Amino acid sequence: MTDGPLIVQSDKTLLLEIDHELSAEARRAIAPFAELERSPEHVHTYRITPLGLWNARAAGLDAESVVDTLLKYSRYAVPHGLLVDVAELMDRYGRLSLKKDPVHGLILHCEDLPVLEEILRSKRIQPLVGQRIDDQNIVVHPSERGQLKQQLLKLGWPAEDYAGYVDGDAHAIELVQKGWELRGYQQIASESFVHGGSGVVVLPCGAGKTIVGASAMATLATTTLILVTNTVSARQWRSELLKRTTLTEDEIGEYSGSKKEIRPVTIATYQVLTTKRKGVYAHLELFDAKNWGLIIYDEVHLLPAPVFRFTADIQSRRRLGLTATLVREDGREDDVFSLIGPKRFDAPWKDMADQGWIAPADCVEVRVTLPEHERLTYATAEREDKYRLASTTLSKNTVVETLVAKHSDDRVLVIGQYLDQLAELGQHLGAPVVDGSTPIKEREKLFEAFRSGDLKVLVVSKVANFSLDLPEAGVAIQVSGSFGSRQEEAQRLGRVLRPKADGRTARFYAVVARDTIDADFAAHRQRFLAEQGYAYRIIDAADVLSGKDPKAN
Amino acid sequence: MSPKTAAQPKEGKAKPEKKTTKPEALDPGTLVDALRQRDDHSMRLMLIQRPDLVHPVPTDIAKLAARAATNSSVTRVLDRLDAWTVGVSEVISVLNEPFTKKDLEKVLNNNDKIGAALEKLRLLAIIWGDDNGMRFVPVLKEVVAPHPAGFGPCFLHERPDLAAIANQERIEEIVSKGPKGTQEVLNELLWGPPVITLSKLNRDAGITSAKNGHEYLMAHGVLVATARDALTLPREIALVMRTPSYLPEDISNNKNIKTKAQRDPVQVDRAAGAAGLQFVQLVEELLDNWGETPPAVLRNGGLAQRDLTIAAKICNDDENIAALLSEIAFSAGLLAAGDDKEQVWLPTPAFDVWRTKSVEERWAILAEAWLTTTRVASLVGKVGEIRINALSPEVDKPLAPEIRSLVLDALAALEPGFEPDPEAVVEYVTWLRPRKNKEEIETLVKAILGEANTIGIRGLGVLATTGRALGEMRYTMPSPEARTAAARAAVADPKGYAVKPDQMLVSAIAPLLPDAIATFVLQADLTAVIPGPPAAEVASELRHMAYQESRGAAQVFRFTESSLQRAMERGYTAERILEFLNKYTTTEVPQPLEYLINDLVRKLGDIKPIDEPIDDTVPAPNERRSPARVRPRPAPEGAPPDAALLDAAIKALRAGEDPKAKPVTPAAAPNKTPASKIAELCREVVDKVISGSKPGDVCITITYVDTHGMSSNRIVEPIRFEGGLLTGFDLTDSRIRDYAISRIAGAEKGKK
Repeated sequence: MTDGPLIVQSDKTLLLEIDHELSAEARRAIAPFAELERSPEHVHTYRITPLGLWNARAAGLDAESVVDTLLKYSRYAVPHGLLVDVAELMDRYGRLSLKKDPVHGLILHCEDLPVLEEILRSKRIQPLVGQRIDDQNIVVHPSERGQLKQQLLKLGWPAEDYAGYVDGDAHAIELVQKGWELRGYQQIASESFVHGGSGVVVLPCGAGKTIVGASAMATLATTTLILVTNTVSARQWRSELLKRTTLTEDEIGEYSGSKKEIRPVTIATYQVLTTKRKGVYAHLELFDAKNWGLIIYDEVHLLPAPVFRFTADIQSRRRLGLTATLVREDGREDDVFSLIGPKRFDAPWKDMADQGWIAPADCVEVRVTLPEHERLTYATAEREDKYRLASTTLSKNTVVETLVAKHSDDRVLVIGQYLDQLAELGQHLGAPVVDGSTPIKEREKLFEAFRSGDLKVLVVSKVANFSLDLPEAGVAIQVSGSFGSRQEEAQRLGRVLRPKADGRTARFYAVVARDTIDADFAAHRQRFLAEQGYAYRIIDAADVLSGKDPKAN
Repeated sequence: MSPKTAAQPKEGKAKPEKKTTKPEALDPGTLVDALRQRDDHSMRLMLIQRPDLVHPVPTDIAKLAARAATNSSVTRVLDRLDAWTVGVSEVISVLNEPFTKKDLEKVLNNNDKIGAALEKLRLLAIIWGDDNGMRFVPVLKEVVAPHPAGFGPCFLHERPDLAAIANQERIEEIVSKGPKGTQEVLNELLWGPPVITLSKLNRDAGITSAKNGHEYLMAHGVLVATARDALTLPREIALVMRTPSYLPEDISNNKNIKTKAQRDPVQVDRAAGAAGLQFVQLVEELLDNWGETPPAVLRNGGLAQRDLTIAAKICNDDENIAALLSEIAFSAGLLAAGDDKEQVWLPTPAFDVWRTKSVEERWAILAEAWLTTTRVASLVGKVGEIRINALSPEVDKPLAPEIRSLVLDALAALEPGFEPDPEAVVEYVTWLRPRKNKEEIETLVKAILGEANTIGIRGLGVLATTGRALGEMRYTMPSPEARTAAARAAVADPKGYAVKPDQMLVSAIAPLLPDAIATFVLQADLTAVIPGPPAAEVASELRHMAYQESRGAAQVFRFTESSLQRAMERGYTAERILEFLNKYTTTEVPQPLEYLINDLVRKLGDIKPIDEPIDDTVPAPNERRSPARVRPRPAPEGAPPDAALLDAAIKALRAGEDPKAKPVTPAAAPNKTPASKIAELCREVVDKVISGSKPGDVCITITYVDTHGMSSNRIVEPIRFEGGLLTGFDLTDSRIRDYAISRIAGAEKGKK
């Protein structure tokens, strides 16, 4: 028994005591193989999962060093069964490998005959492989490379991909570090990606994921396809790249609903790629339009299914996934692992905030009570209408007004789900509303005004969820959301997390109707925030209105 | 001692009879006389080891002697003797009576050990008389039949020619001229079994036509054809050949147990502590799970293989461990086959009490259950073609507690830190119980050694402090009186509050366990983390307010609206919950949690505060429990007689001997007493006896109506009171009797 900071539970979770003097060291040691599940104030929870262990194997860690780490930092005896499991699971990775063969092209190689036989018996594998060469090798058509990796992972036998990447057309890109410089963790993230070939970098909102992408592009110096969530974010990528690299306007193309430019660096939206015309995805051809050397997936946790499918076909190109969270509401984390690649870098939000890379935030839940007549409507409403009724209650409006008034010297974003509600709020607050129907030009104008300080309050719909770079927003007020979506909550919090020039604390308010389904969803989202290390307070609307919130100022 | 001078069957004698003219063989008389001469102490020692003799108590010593000489009783004695003593008794059975110690010395080596064996047999009343003349109970011959000490039957009267053959030179001569392998044939039969069955035996083979050693020896009369295809070595030949010792050389001495490795005792204890902690937690986890989703009871009473696999998954361990967990939980009375509505395995109400105890206490209860249970979890799963299910009757092995006890002794006898070779332990135990099935002993010993590792009795394969304590505990186990009291308490106390773990065990494991932590860390995500083994008072209360999310070395609980609501419905007020949290948390109570609690009060309305302490042994509504059950108490050999009963029994036996023994006459009939009063009175006096008063000092005078409707007054020294029967020594007719409580018409304390 040592006095380590780590407690290894038999259910494969690891509890890390943060206040322990060895905790930082232990965190570094376990991070490569354990997924950070929760990071509240005192005890962080990591989980050992097959994916995590295979991620570690992919990064060159062996079972022995994992076991050693656990034993070294564990305070109590480590359950024997868990150690055996770790060894067995890690042993599964790499039994199968994808290789290039000078004669047969791409082959699946396996030195363990029973394993090979087992997987070849699978109905899902059979159509993906070709002719059997001998006991150890079997031909794989290059187009099935991704599919095969995906299916092998599902069977529990992940294949190591040694088949390498095509370099793509070279295109000189360099970082221009003028007035800013690459932060340490950005450097490490970019390096570990380039070293690994393909993979995902997990960084909190506001931590500069774009710059990691730019840095990777610069290192590889090749033609790049960047996939982003929407046009606004495409424009932001473009301006960031112009600012941070040697790329010029002519070298960067935009491939969206309105423009279809293909240039050495092309930024495309998921939306245009997934637009069907006469039943076919007309724009997926973009992947073949140029000999891309690098494909960057922004917000990889939102990657739509058709893009996944196409990604399976381009396994020979380098792929970089960027995201704030690997949590996918659809649970397809394993597809991200097999198709984009293993996680290459991860850092807890709270640590970044502590180091000043992202702004600290004060999260407050304000509970309003439904007025009597609304309660009756709510009680008798159909189930599918309940959430809308609860989250658009009129009583929220006064609270929002009070909050906006209180933060009149700061820039405030009011975020919501329902357009009627937003329009109404816009009127009340005398603030412009940005939603899906707002023309791009109009949006950019408003955002610019907000950035410059001419506009203090902006009401936005969920178009603002992603990649909306409004560094000076210090207060966000959420009036309604997409049910209990955790990643949406993370994104919205991310809106206010960009470091502030004066280092002030950002505020994130969620206005919630008490005793309704709205509150239940809020609890779900807040648990996520708390698990990310953002403690929150709950206050009553009455206290806000009377200005009694003790910590508000 | 040379073969020539050793007393042995001489020519012309049918049996290895001693010369009747031997002056030193004095006749010791009858067993009854010998027993009459015994003092109370030796009588008590005998009765403790032969409890069957006083179940029920015979009226006088003649009846005692008769019972002691029955086949079943003597078999019971021999079954529990070691190989040397059994060997000596078997040799005795082939001697003529009366025999002397010298007679034995002549036919056995290891003369120094003969005395001890005789002493043991004498104490147990298998033999009687002093060294100069002894007899054995006649039934001994029957009990050791058919081949005492591996000797075949005597054939002299059927085959007078044997007399000529039965001498050393003649046998050697015959063997030397025989075909190849003759010596081996003889050697094989010499130490028994003395019978061999051959598929192709030519019974008519002559000296010249003999084809092999067997036929050759038969033709010469050294072997006797006893059946169509069987040959037997006559006792006469074997006696000659075995001289100078009728018993094999190695039987007198048990070997030292070979050891494999040496370990640091500190590491051993540490490993045992970790195993013990894990074992306790796994039992809790499994039963907790089964409380919510109970597995079905199979028709034969067991647990389906599928459910065992699930259990193994719950425990993150293999199926052997899962089987052991469920068997021990069952033996400890924490698990029972469910209620009448549905046949499922459910935790008992005693489980809820058990889990409120500290880890060391919980462990002690489990370890004690393991020590005394007849169930052998390691048998689950395998055994040839047949699959044995956990919790099924096939796992019950009456021999198990005895062997377990012997194994613990064997391990405790080793130097601390040495890991024994399992085979050597098997050999050791086989020597101690030579009359038991060797394969069964081997299976049991290996099972016991393995289980001991899992439970935390051994660490790194070496007996740990915990194991030593468990071994010693057997001598300080609750006295039979206390057990009587416990059994009685169990009826009134189905939840098992009265189950007190053995203090010695508790203090043995306590220092090996990591310190219990009586605080927790509260976090904003509404979790409470106890970063180590939880102190019982914290964990059991926290369990009511929050759902357990993760367990192991540390415990993680999550507060949710429904968990808090559950607590409040149970009677917790918001103040009480917050007070508890503030008292034990090392961090601040997160504001959202506080808000959640207060908000619930608003939602649920006012909760009537309950003043009494909340019963933390009531399971949550979603958890099911079996009806109260008394813990299954294995009693393979019947309970050993308790001291009070023994004293009374001896007194009764002596009184039965004394023709002048004058019954005490009660002075006057006690008044009629209501039945409830009678029971109360009986219990009171018996409690006095249990708490230390001599039965003689506490008397009760009862008016008893016998089966013929005759009523009489009796003065009784009570011994126990259970199952509606008062057992006691009746001074009125000097014997032990049971009195049905329903037939006692009146009772009064003291002699009347």
